[in-house]
Amino acid sequence: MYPMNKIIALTCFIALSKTVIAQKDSLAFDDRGKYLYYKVVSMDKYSADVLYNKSLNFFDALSKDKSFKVSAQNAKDAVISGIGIIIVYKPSLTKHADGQVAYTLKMEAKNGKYRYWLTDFVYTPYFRDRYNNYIPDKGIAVAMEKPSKVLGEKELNKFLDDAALYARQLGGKLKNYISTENATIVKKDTVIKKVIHINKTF
Amino acid sequence: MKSKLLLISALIASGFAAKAQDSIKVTSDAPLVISGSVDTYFKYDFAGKKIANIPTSFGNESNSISLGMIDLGLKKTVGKATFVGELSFGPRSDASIPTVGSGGSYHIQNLYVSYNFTDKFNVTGGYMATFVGYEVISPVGNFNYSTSYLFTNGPFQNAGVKLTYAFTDKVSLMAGIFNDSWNAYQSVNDLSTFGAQLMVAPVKGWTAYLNLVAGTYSGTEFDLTTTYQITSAFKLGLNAATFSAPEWKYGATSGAKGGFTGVALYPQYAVSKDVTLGLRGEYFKTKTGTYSGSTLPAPGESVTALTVTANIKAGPLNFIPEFRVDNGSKNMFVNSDLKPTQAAQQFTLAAVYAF
Repeated sequence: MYPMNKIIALTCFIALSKTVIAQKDSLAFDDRGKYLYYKVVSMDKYSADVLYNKSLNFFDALSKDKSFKVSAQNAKDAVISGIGIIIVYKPSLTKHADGQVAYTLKMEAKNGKYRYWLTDFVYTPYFRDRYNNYIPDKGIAVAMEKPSKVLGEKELNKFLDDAALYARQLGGKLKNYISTENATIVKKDTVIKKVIHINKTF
Repeated sequence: MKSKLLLISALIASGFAAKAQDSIKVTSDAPLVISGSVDTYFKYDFAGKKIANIPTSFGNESNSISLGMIDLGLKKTVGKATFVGELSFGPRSDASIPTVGSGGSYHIQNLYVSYNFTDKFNVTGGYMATFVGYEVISPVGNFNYSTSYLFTNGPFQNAGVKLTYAFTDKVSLMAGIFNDSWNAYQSVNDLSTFGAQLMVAPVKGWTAYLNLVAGTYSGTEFDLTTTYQITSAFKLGLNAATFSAPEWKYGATSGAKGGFTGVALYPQYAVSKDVTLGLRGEYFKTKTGTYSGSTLPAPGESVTALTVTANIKAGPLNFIPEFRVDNGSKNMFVNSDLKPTQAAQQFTLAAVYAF
């Protein structure tokens, strides 16, 4: 027999702990003052070529979905660039797409490690068209560095959290793909807002 | 009891889980997308009478707090196949013909299936909102709460099959065959209406649709609908159309000659995140001939309508205060003594909740 107060307490604990995880996952700023999700991953047993090729395969596969496209690739320097979108939702009982966050991605590989970062987050709201579809309002694209007439502070923070969570999940998928092991739990980042200078070497 | 509490606990906990989604899921476990709206309004006609002095669609109850409609839409996409079903109830729904039953009970706004042969080529069939015009039936899709003469006198919905090919992101072409009768779930005689839409997006934020709907039963309308989001705060819309009634004596207008022509301009400016101000200026003329109706001026006459509207948003709730003045080329409205007069004014305050 579970006392009701224990069940309620457990519910609150689970709910709050998940909320905290989402909100904690904030982004850093780069030299240009743009939000940035930046990660360096060690892969000791792989050369730069292997890391590059595996990553390229991963991003090519991701490109089959319209939400991502490889925009540039350079085997010599082991660099991949891409652009993508993240569909975002406002908290609601019913669920339909409320907007999209476009981003640019860059990935660089070296022997034994790689790094990637997502930045240039730009929000485009969705609207309901006459056929009951939610589609992008193509004329509107606002940078997410500060609230605007299009995106208020509350929604901005929610969508930045979503972008950070997506970036972390994408990184986890990439790491799993490269290591060709079964999905593993990616360690949660404890990122505080800070400025990251992306050096040419890492 | 214990299991119910645990189930509720799990649901609450999962509801708080943060989820970021890279794209809209289209696998078989894709969620059913539910959306819709409700709307209600108060309208005061400055003639002070319980009359629909301004005859355009919806929101016709003067000096009253009145209902719009409740609209419920469902959508699901699995792989390349999509269905949309959208059902509405209420006076606004009843006025979006056809209604079912003598008093009107519900109305289907959209009921269609769609299949993507490729990323660029799509077929859609069923009963769909018309591709013609700037304004729509749903209050969520319009900036102004009252509607234009161009909207009121054009098609609302077309049942048929259409093919759409996207040459690029900036150019697409739709062509289809539709039932002879507009705004009906089934044809009167056959599928004899041809419809086509050329979409061009010459620059970012600017989209233009050139529309044609043509048939011997319901008539022929050429329509240009375009919007240009000039800045993130300022949007300009334009709708221009010309309609020719079918001369076929068994057509929807029994062989009447004539039609209408008109143009409407829609500038809108967002003064803050939650407040947008907009104007609709419309000139509408009934062509000379015998084509006539209660929703347009007499043949050869015209009307100029100016509508000032604000959209004030509080989350999903949109308050829409609106002031409208219609001025006819001759007496076509009534004054407080119910005598013919050239102009009519109305104030409307609507509340639209979208979910």
